[in-house]
Amino acid sequence: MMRSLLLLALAAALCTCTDPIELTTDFETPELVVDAWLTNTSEPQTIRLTQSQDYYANRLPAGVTDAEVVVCLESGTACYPFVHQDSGRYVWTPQPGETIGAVGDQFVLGIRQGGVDYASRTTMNRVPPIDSIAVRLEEERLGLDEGRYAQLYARDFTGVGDAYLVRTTINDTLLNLPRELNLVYDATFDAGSGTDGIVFIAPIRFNINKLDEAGSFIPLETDDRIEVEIWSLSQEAFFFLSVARDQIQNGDNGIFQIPVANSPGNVINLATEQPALGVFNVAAVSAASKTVE
Amino acid sequence: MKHFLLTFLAVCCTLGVFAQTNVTARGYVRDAANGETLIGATIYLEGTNKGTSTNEYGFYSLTVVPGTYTMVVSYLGFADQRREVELLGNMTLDFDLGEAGSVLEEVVVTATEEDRNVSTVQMSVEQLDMSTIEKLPSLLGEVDVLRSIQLLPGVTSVGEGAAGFNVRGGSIDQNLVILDEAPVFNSSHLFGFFSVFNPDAVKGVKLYKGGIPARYGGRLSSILDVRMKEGNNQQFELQGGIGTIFSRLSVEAPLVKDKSSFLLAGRRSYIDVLAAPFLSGDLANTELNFYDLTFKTNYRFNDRDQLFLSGYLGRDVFSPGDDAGFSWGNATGTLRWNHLFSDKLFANLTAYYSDYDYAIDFGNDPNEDAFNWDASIVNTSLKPEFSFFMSPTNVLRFGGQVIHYRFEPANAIAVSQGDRIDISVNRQWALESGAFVEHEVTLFDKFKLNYGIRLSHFAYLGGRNVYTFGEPLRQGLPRPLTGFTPTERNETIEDWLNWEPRAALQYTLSETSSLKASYQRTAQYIHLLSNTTASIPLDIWTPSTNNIDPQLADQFALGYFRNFRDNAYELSLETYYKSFDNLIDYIDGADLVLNEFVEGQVLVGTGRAYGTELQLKKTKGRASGWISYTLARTERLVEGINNNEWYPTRFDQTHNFNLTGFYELSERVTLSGTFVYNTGTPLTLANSGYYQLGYFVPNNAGDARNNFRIPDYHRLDVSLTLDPKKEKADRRWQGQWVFGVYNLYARRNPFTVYGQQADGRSAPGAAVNTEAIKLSVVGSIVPSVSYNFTFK
Repeated sequence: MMRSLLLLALAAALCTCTDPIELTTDFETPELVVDAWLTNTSEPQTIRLTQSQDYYANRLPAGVTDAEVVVCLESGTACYPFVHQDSGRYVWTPQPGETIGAVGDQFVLGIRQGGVDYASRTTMNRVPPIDSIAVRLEEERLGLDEGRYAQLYARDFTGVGDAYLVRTTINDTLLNLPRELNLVYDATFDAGSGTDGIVFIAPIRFNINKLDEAGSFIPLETDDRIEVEIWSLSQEAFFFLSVARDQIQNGDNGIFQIPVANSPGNVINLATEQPALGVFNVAAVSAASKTVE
Repeated sequence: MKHFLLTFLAVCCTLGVFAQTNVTARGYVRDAANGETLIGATIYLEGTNKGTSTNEYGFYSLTVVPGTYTMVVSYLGFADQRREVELLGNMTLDFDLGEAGSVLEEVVVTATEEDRNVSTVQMSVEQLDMSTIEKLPSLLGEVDVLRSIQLLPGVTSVGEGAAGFNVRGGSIDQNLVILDEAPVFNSSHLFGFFSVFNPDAVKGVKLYKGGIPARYGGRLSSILDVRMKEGNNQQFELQGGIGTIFSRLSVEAPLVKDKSSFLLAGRRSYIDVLAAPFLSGDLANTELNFYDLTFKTNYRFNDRDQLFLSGYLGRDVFSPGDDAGFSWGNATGTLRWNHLFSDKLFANLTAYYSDYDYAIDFGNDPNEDAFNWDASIVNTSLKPEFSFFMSPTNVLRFGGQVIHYRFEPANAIAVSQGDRIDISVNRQWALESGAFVEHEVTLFDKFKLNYGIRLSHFAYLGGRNVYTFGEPLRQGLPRPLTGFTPTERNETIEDWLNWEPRAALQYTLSETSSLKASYQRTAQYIHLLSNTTASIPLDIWTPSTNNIDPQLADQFALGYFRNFRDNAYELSLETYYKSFDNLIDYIDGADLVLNEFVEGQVLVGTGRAYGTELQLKKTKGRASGWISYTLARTERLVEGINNNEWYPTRFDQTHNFNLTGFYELSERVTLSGTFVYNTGTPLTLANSGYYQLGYFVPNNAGDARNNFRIPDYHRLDVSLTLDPKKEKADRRWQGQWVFGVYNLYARRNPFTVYGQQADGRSAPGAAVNTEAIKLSVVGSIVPSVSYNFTFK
C-alpha cells in the first residue's frame, strides 16, 4: 500500500516506463505441487496434485494422476479418502450435511506418489462471523472514482494470531487478481503488527471491490451481487500466502521491489524431510452476500 | 598493543625534543574574494622539502628552524601566492588567495600542490570541488553532490534513482555521510533522485573509500565528508537559480567584516505549484514538494578562537488529498569551536544533533478509520579533536567521540471503526564511544606513514523488553520468540569493544610517482534494515542488540600514483581486498517495518569485495576531465541463502567505466560530457511457478540468489554552460545559463527485470498468463535548462 503511494509520486515526477521482454529461464525439473485448501462446508472437497512449470509457460499445470491421497482427523476418529477424478483432481464428496470436521480439529494429510510419502498436519482455526456487507456512496479521491462501493464488516477475535483469507465473488466473477488477494492477520495485513480484536481495517474492508486492469476499484451497479467468504488459516498457510501475495504484487513496486522469495510449504517429503510445493489448510468458513439496490 | 604504544610514545617524544628550538608559522588560507577558508591548500617553503597543507578549517601550522624563507601557498584553481618571510620567532601568517586569472601581486606558476595525489600518504580518497560538480551534466539540470561522486572509481549504485551509493562492495548504510560533522541518515530527496545538499551551500566533498584515518569511525565502507561554506565575510552576496525541479536562493554576508559572516540557503521543488491549477476536488489539497534550508554562521573572537554554528533542515512531503500523507526529512545542527592552545596545537570541539524522521497517516476521520505512524532516529554527539603539528614531518592527532542514539522504529496508532489500538514498536537507546590517536610522520625522506588506532565501544541500553529467539523450525523460517526480559532505562544490556587499527604508507619513487599501501579495520554498530532493491524512506535503523552483532570489515589496498607532463595528468591505480563480518540479510518474506520481533527475521553472513580502480585525470588546459575504470567483485555468504554458497550482491558490477570531460570552447562557453558504462547488476528471478487456490505462485527452484544479470547500462549526458561576458565582469548581477541533455541517445536502461502476472483476469480453471518486464527509470532523453545568478 505504502509502496504504491510512493510509486505514484515517483511516476508523477519522471516518465518511468516498462517494456515486456523475452526471457528464458533455467527451469528444468518439475516438482510435485500440493494444492490442498479444504473447507468445512458440506461440498465436495478437492485436492489438486500438479507439477510446477516454467514461470513463462503460460499454460495449465500438468496433473499428477497416480497418487493416493487421504485426510484423517489426527484423533483417528475419521479418515476421508480423496479419489482421483481427472487431471490431478482428488475429490472427497461428503454425505448431505456432513463436513470434514469442526473448528479446533487437527487434520493430517497423507500422499503417496511415485514411491515417496508426503505428510502434513494442520488445525482448523476459528473464523469470525461477517457482521455485514455495506454499500456506500464514496466521493472521488485519488485512485477512486465517485460511486458506490462495498465494505466488509467483521471483527477479529481477541487473542493474537488469527489469520484469514477473504474471498469475494461479484456477479459470479471470483476476485483473483494479484491485488485482490485479501489476507487478514489480527484485522490487519501482517503478523507482528500488534493489532488485535478490532474490526478489519479500512483497506481490507474495502478490498472486496473489483479492480480494473489499471488497478482502480470499479464502482458497483444496481443489482450487482456480492458474495464474501472468510476462510480461517493456519499460521503456515497465512505465511505462505503472505509471501505469495508480496511476490505476485511485487511488479507494482517498481524500484522498491523486494527480492524474489519462495513461499514456504507445509507438506513434507518424509524421505528428505524437505517441504514440497504448496499448502494443506482446512478452513472454517463464514459467508454473507448482498445485492446492490 | 603495549609494544605499539611504547614505540609510538618514543617516536613522538624524540621528535618533540628536537622541535624545541624551532619556530612556528601558523595561520589560515582563505579565498580573497569571499573569505572562505580553503581546505587542503598547500604551504611550501621554496628551496626546501618542507611543507604542509591546511586542515578542514583552513588552518595550517608549519614548524621549521629559524631563517628567511619564501613561502609559496597554492590551491587548485587559484593563483599561487609567494611571500618572503623572516621566520625568527613564532608568527601568524594568513594568506588570501585570488582565483587564477585575476591579477594579484606576485603571481607565480609553480606546481607544488598539484602533485598532492602523489606526495600525500592518503590513498583511496576522492575530492570534488563545487566548481567541478557544478560543471557536470546532471539529471534535469540539478547540480548534485551525490550523483557526482558516482562518477568516481569504486563508487556504484544499484540503479538510477536509488537512494545512496555503494563504495567498494559496501551496502548503502555503510557510508557515513556527514554534513559539517553531523550524520545525515537519508541523503535523498524524491527517494533517490536528488541529494539533500544544496550546491550553493557546499564548499566541497571528500570521500574516503579506504585508508580511512583513525579519526573517523562508525561505518564500514566510506566517509563522505560534506563541508558547508562559511558565508562571504567580505561582502553581501545573493545567489540563486531556477531549474527544472528546484528553485534556489541563498544569501551570504559579513556580520562583522573579517570576523563574522553567515549563509542562508534554501531550495524548494515546485512541481506542485505547477500542477495546482489542474487538480480539483479532493485532489486540490495535494501536496507534493521537497525543500531544504541550510544555515551557517561563524564568529572569529581572535586569531585563536572561532565558533561555527550550522544547521540543515530538509523535508519531502507527499500528500495526495486529505486521505493520506507521507513525509520524511533530516534535521541537523552543529556547533563547533576551534581553539589554538598554542601555535602547534589546534583543537576542535564539535557538538551535534541529528534527526531523521518520517511520518505517515491515512484516513480523513481520525476517530473512525485512521492509521498514523511516525519513526525517527535521533542522535546527539560530542567530539573533541586535537592536532599537534610538531614539525612539518610529524603530526599527531588524537581525540574522541560520544554519540547517544534514540531509535523510534514506530510510534503508531491504528483506528478501525472507532476501535483505537496502539501498535507502536518499542524504542531503543544506545551509546557509542570512540577514542583515537593518529600519527603522521615522514621517515628517511622517502616514506610517509600515517598510523593510528581507534578504540570503539557500543552499549545497547535498556528501557524496553529484550527478546531472545530460538532456532527456526527449518532454515529460512523466522526464528521463534523464546522469551523476553524487561530492562531498566540506561542499564547496559550488551556491549562491545573493538580495536580498529588503521595504517597508510607512502613510498616516494620519484618526484612524480609514488607507491602507497593501507590497511583499515572498521566497526559499525548501527544497521539499516532494508530488503528492497532501492532503499525506501521507511527503512529503519537498528542498533546492535543481543541478537544483532556489530558489523566488522578489514580492507587492504595498494596503489601506484604517477603524474605526467608537469602534473597536467594524474594517474592512479589502486587495488583492494575487503572482507566483512556479521553482515545482515533477511529470511524470505521478512517483514521489516512495524515489527516488534524483527530481530527474529535477520540472517547473519560474511562478505568479500575486491577490485582494481584506474583513474586518469587531466587537470590543466582547455580540455580537462577524467577517465575511470573499475573491475570489481562483491559477494556475500549467508547461511540460509543461495544454498549456503557465495553469491554476488545486488549492486555487484564487474566493469564500471566513466568518462567525464570539460572543454572550454571560449571564455564564456564550456561544454561538458559524461559517458557511463557498467555491467548490469545481478538479481534473482523466479524461474518456475505453480498453482495454489487459482493463483500462480512464483518460485525460484534451486534457491540460487542473484543468478541473473540485467542488461548492461550505458548513458551519455552533455551540457553547455554559458557564463557572463568578461567585459561585464564588474556588473553586480551575473547570470549563467546551463543547457543540458541527460541520456542523449535515449537508451532505455533497465533498472530491473522481473516476471509478473500479465494484465487481465483469468477465468476460474483457466491458465494464468505471465510476462517478463524490463523497468527503465529514465525511459527517454531528458533535456533541461537552468538559469543561475549571483548578485553582489
